[in-house]
Amino acid sequence: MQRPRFELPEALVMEILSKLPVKSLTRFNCVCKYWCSSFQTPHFISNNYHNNLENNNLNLLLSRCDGNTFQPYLSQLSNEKDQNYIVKQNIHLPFFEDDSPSVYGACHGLLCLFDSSKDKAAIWNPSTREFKILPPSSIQRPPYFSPFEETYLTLDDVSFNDAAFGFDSKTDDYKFIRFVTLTFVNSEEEYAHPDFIYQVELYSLRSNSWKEIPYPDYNPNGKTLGNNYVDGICYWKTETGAYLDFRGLILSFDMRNDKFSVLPIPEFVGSFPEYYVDLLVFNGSLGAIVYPLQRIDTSFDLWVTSEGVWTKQFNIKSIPGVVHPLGFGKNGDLFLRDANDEVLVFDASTQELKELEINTYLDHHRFAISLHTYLESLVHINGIQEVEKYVIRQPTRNASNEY
Amino acid sequence: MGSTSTKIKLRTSDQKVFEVEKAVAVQSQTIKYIYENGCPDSVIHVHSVSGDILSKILDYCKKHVNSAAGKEDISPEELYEWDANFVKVDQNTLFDLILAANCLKIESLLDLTCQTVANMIKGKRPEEIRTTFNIKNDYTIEAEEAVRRENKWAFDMLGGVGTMVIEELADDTMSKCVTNAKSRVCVIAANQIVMMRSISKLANKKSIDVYKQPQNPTTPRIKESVKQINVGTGFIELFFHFKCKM
Repeated sequence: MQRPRFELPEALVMEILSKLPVKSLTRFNCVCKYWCSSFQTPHFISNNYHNNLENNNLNLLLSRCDGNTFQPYLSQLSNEKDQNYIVKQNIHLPFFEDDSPSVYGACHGLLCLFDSSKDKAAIWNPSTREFKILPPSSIQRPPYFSPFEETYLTLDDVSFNDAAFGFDSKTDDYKFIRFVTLTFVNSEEEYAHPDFIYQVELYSLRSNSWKEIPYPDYNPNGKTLGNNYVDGICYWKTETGAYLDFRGLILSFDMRNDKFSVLPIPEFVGSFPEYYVDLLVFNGSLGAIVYPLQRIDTSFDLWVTSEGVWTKQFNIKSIPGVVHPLGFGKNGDLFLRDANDEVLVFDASTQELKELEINTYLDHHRFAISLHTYLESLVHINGIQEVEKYVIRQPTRNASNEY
Repeated sequence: MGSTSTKIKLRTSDQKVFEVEKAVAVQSQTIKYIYENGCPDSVIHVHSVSGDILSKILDYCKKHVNSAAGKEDISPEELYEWDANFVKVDQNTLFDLILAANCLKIESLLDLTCQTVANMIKGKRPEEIRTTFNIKNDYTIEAEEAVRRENKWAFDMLGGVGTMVIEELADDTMSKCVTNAKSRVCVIAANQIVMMRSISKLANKKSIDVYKQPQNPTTPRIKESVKQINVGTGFIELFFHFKCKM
């Protein structure tokens, strides 16, 4: 490029720069001090994110587990126009050692990762490669007196299951909410019968601290496909009623006022237990993929909420074989896991079903494979740059033209 | 008198007058505002835009108005192609279009032109960027080194073992060149090391030497057969292996 005949005004230069990928902007930090500081302003970060949102530059991560080493890792997928998805990069997270981290988000390009068996969690911006390790929870684990055994029991285990990661627009804060299961046993007994106590704790990035939230009336139950946070609110599936009288419900948590609530799940098709209802975020709203349990070919209905009202968005007819949805990728592609544990992609526009050719059938814990998508962003999280101790990136032979 | 036949007169900075259909002209929010708040028959001055640039902009507006109104049978993909060709202009014209689109408040054109420039610069080195935007480097050498080190991964093309395609070797600079820690470049074409030079010397090279990479990567490479590839004679695809010994 040549030296220009004239200079563009600053505002227009920033307009151009806000359309750049994060990697280019990171490199251009050393162009001049003004640029470096401009890229850190909330205004620029917001513009850049907004551009990514407009262009729908989705990045895809497949969470999986190596069949040989039993190591969990993330495969970053990408596709060129009209071509099949390929693995561009494999990302290992030695921070979690051998445990497979649960992935929540993305929210403004940020993901939250945590271990379900240990108090290990991190917030991660995969675009800027910033990694923020959360401090261990400061929440008191209360003593438990078992009325049945007439003694105080010993806290044997603390585990974490359901969670969510999102943004509180009122305080401009990123929050991570986590459900805790405390296992108490009578240490005197040889074959102790455990008692479970539940807690909810909330981490705020802004204050870098935890606080306890009163436990809701319902236990979250069942995973969401990918992200379970949208527009200030987190969602989990839950249920009520006794066996044979189950009613599906949705438990929600509003990040802005730290309050739980419940929403009904409508009777989408026939009665509840005969259909899977997988919650997900679709086009900026809470949605659900509904499909029958007993089947030879699978037909999916996608329902979406709009201001609290559920409407059926579309139907995908008869995909051969028994498949489970993993979530949507780019351009309305639906990722599925088939009975052979291979990952397939259904292209709704061409009605074509394609295999991903990434050999997930060789993976360990194939039922746990999950798809996560994120947009690039410059959002800062007060973390550190990725180090090999926590994150290792391994580009594949497919990676090229990396600007 | 139907609104479709209403014309608006525009006078440019170089005193050229354009008579344009209202529907086309009001794609510019600026012109729309002036038209609606002024005398409808008078000529609107667009003093910061030249005749050549305005002519191009009106082509753009006309194409988009016609396509939206269904007057032209053009698919979204074809319109996208048309837009891509529209911005295939020299850098100065592109900058002129950006200024004009901004001043005339034509959002879609501003987006298109800014995105075009963004695409052109996204793979560039900071030095090239300073040239493009006429920016003075106000970092001290130490400060700049520190920033580069902090953001090292953005300079590593793939952060380790890998390959990269260099799409074009221009006359005065390596467009998508990569450096390792020692600011040397090693480029391989078809298993041959194409060259190894420090970046500053590269900048002035018109042609490059080819070295052959021996089978055993630990033995020093030998200038076995020297081939001269002319730099800047168009599209050269080369593969670059980070791992080779320097």
